[in-house]
Amino acid sequence: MLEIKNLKAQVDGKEVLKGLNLSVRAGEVHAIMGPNGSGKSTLSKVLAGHPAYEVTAGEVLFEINLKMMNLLDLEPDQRAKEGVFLAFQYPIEVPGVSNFQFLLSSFNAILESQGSLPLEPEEFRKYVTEKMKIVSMKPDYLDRGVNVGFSGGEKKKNEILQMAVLAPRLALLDETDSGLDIDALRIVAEGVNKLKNKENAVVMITHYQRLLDYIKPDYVHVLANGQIIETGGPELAQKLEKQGYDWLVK
Amino acid sequence: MIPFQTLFKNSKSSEELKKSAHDFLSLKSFPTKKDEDWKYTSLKSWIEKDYVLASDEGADIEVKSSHTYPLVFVNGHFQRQLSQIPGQVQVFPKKRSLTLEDSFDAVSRLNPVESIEVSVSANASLDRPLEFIFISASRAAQAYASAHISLNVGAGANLSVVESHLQHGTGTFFVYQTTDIDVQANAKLEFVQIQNVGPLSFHLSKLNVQAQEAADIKTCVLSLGALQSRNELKLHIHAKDVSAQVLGVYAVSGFQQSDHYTSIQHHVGGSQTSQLYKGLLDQSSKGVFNGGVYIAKDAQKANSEQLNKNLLLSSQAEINSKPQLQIYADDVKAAHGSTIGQLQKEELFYLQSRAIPKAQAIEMLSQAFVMDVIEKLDHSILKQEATKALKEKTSQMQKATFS
Repeated sequence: MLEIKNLKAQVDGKEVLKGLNLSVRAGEVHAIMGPNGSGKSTLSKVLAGHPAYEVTAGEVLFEINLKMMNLLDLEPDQRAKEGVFLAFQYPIEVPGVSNFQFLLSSFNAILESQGSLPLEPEEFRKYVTEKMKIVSMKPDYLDRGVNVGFSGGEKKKNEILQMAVLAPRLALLDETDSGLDIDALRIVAEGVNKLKNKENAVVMITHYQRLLDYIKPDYVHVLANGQIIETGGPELAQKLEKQGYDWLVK
Repeated sequence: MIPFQTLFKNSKSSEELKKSAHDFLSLKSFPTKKDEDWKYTSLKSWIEKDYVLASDEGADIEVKSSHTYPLVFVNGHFQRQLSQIPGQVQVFPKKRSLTLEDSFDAVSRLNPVESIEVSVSANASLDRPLEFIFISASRAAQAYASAHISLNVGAGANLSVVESHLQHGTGTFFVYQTTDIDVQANAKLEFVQIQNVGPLSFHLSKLNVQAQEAADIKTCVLSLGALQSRNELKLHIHAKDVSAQVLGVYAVSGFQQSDHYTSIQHHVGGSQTSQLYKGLLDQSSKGVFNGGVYIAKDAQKANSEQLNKNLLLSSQAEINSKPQLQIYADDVKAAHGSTIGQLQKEELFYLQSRAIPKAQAIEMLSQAFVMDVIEKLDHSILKQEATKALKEKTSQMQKATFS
């Protein structure tokens, strides 16, 4: 469903992705690991359409209505409507916009793009309260400002809640495990596992093996210096955990 | 050229009033940009226009209000038959003093409308807010209207008021509105003004509030309509233990200009005031916030805060924010701050990445920026009316930008 070919991208005039290739099919879980500054977060931002990142070469094809379409032609909100979801490494606080209003606007934007009628707030409240159980969030988080005053763990749970509400086909998890204690990590990972099915795919960006103990990847890739330099199965992650990246990066 | 000359020619006011207006204007002219308090707002094109004096004849007005007690004014004329006056409230005409305050005041004497006094009994508490509805209506292309109202909130009374300014038709109006409010000892007043007149009009509002001992006051002005508007708020504190929150939101777009002038005057000590004004400026609009605080020499233990925050939604929009503090007492607290910013790109991207289209995301974020002012209101109906007006405006602003 996702085909990235020779992708080059820069931010602030500095080239970060230097010819990246990646192919993801429905039902798969991919892990992308790599040293700091290798371009992992850039990849997720480019795929979600962050305006600060400029693609200078290559293409990103994404399956839309059974056709491979150029994802880079779409605005960020259109990508989200087509099923691309980025769980942020640092979820943004949006004071003054309630979590409920945020989720409702988001959900109804998707419905609208599918030609369906929007859900009334009361109906949506029931729907979303059910979804909150997936990540053990209390309903009162709905009426607080988006991520305002949330702990690191609560922010990450909120990301997975958004994922549950939007039901994306491609979920990009950018260091979703960072800043989580072991209980929160388990809850967040279980949330992702519950949302995982044969129709969708997950790409996890992570520094550590520990997330992979909870969410089993089919493929592990090593991203270094803007390119994927090694691909393997789950055993590659274990090898990286023991030996680091030096043996690959030299 | 004599300002407002057609009004002079056609005025039906008494010769005495016309003469005093004329005498005043020959001595004192209208403020220009050379006056410090009018530095950013030019009146020239407005005072030179030929206006027809708008009357209340022929205006077909209907007022539906089930959650307030409306007091309706058409072009400054009180419409008793359209109004609902609850017990505990008396409404009567009042002769205006012949003393003229300024040029606007002088011109307003050419409009033979009565000043209306609204008096709320001591210890009164109404089950609904009062709503002063000022409607400007004329078939003329350029019309003038003025209105004057005095509100007396009796000692210990608890009152909520919505003051709405509307216009029927899309002509050019010059509207001059004065609201004088006396808040007696221990009374509580919550007052929301919503200015939503037509897109080609000039709106000048003067709100003068006198606060007596332990008065608890909250005012909130919303400037949404008019091509150009000027909102003056003067609060005089005459006794101790007054607590006053002075709030405002201006949301403007296109070529709108909105000028806010406040003057919070602590004549005696031991009272607290705070000002919070927020501005939302899109396209080529301009805003002015001139926030004045005066603390008299013996007004010790006065406490005054002021904050003005602005969000510019376009690179053409302009804001002039100016605090003006005159403090003559030494044992006081006086804080002020001013910010001017743009939408946070990361917030915008976050919303867009959740399928929310850009225009809607901007609307949500700009509403969020100003809504915390409205959240400070206590009365649910006041909050509801203010929210509705503000949301309509922010929604229009985005439609205009993205169409």
